Amino acid sequence: MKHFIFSIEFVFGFYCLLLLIVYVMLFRMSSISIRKNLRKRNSRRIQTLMDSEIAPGVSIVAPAYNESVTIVNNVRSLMTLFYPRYEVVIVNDGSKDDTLEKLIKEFDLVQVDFLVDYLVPCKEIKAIYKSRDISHKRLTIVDKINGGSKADAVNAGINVASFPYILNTDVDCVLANDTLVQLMEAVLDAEERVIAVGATLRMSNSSYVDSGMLVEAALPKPILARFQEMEYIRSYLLGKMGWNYLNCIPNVSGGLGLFDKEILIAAGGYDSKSLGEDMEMVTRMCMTMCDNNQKYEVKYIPQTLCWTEGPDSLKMLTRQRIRWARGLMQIIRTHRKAFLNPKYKKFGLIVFPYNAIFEFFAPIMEILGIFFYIYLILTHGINWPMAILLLIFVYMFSVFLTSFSILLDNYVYKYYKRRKDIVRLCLTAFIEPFIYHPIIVYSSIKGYIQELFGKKHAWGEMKRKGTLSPLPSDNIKK
Amino acid sequence: MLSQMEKTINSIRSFFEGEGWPILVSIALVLSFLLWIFCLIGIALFYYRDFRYRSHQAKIYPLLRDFIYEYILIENMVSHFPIDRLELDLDKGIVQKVVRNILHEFIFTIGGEKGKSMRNLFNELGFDKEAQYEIRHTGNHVVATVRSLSDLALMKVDVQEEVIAQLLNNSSTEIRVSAFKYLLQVRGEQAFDLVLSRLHGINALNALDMYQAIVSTDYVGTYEFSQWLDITKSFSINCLMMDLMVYYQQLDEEKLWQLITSNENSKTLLKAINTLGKLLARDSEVRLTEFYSTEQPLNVKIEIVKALGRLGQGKSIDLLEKIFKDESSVLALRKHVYRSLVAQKPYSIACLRKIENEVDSDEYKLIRYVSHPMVHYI
Repeated sequence: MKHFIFSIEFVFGFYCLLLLIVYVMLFRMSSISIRKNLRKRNSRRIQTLMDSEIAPGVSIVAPAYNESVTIVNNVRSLMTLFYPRYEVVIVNDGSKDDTLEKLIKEFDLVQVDFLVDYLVPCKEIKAIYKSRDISHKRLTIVDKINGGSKADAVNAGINVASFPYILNTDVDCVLANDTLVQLMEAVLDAEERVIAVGATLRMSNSSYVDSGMLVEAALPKPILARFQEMEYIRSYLLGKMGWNYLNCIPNVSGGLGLFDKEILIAAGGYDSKSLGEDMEMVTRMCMTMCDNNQKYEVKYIPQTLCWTEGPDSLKMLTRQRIRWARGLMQIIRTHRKAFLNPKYKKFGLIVFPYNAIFEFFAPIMEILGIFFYIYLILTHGINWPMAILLLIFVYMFSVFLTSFSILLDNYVYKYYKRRKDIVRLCLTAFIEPFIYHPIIVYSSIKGYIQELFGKKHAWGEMKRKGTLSPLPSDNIKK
Repeated sequence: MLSQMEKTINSIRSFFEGEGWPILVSIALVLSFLLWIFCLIGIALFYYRDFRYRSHQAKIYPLLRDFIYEYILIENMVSHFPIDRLELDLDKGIVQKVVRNILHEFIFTIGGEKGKSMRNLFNELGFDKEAQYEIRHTGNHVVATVRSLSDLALMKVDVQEEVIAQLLNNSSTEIRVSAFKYLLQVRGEQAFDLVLSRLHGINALNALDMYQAIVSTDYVGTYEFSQWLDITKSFSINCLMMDLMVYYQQLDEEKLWQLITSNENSKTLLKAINTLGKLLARDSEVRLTEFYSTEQPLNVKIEIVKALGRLGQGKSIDLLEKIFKDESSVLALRKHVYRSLVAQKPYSIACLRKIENEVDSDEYKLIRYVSHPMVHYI
């Protein structure tokens, strides 16, 4: 029995040590990656790409479902991005409200004859609309039958898109004016073919948005949204920028991702059955490139280019995280042939094993670890001084990682102009391990169990509260 | 040796079985705590740095703006500005940085004669000397060197040959590209040979920068960019030359066909065909028609069809018609074929009529879509 206990302790200890080493490496790699990015950015004028008539074209694909309240403002903001050559493809995914009618009226749209080349699978496209107003020439509206998922709607947009790059975003996301410029710079500045580029997303809850444009970023007031903000900063600046150094990005977010259309189509488009369609898409794109023996890069840039409204109720948050957990499990099950397969190079030897061993297994190990702790307590087998020391260390380390991510965020750009926003964000790091983290672990385990038993996922509807406007001018110091 | 190793292994084992783990965890805890403190200090420093910049900017911006409006825009002063009236402490680094950034903003928005006055103001404030000093002394500090070079280029200030030669041979591509841009902006066409012969190692973004630098100069001459086309060079360099050939409407069919037939790089091949089309290389119509084959990749076929639409004068109608009627042709190809046929009017009128009489409902939709005046991107 003693040997058995020792073996379990060894397994947990070894796992935690590996995880610690990964985090320390990410800490180092993200710093280097961000410094390199900022050095390149500060070395050139961003206006060069904005003014260039030879810049590659980009198709922005944004699915819309029951977005009647904000659709006009959001589409207008997409049409005013700073980039010389792009189109906006809004996919009305069988909305039950008057989303389409509002668009038709606002942008003077008429139906055009269109023969769709279904390069990737999607539900039937009923109509295509274009504007009679020349100032809206870059706008295309696709009206289709609801496919039951965002993936299906994005595929419809891909089938209609004209340009070689696709920017996949949500229609209610607020994009920075220079989003396309920054993402395309990352594409053009690479040594190998870039198949996907992502950037940092943040929460727009409590930020000031006017006519679909972000006026001023503010720290979310609801505590759950604030936790998510912190989690996003950590995930993007520490995690993804760290992996960017090795060209081992595991995922490009569905809220903002620029993709090479040819590779997207070659990989088969988004999988409408997947619950983690964004990560699944990047997985398949990487595997497609490896199958064809082609070099590629998946890049991340540290700048925040997209603000999205995150769930601020516990129910919505857990539903979202359950879906993500199920999506991760589906990907690992579906693409398990990539695991430690040298054919898939870095993807098979680093990215996929990392996702499987750490991203997927971490909540399971945590729960088992807690049970083990309880067992040791009940059997008087616990070394209390060591146990307390370990707990304090783990807590301190997590606070440090979060603080380091906030430091990187401030190094990249000062999004929060108010001192109290930065202070509150730093203080949130102290309570996150006790409140937010257990919610995430619970949601992940629940997701895995649901996926294991094949329970049907209920998408539900995210009730958007919209971000605040107008701007309270007396609060803003120039 | 073996006994020594055994001794080491035993001592390590006893360390970990004894106080080893608590010591290591304690060290890790202390390190985490210290690093956390450093993070907080770093956050505070970055916040303070930004706050300081914004405070200075809030004070200096209205002063500088009013100064520029009064002396440059209204009084039309060209030089010898009363800069003492600004009362700026330019010895302070932060003030220099703020003033430099504000001046850049104005220089980019004010062009023409007033732009020249703005440049004189920049020089009279001493920034040209500052920039000259920085490019000599910052070594491989990329950002400082690039920023100084772009300032000098903007102000059209001359830099010594030795310094330029050093920068052109720098190991950093960013510094080299910045030096290229400087030479192009300041010396114009005279710098073409020097710059274009040293483009090795540039990527697509650098090529785009160079393109913008060249087309924004006053050059309108007859310099042969096609002399730099070479199948051994990278796609970025060949692409840059082809873009310049298109911009200045310089056709060199033989060079382009060398790139097409060498088949070394598929991207270069596509770009060369595209360039033939944009330059209306009419003599290449027959050759392109013969070059087309059904075994080629789709993107090559589409590029050939697009080029035929631009440069065609009736000799490729049969091929286009055949592709359109071929049921195995994919929709994307057929769209471009139809568009190219439309572009070749009046030579293609008979063919178009024939197609319109024979189409089925799907093809009719395709034709309607391609011809639709509101459809701008195919």
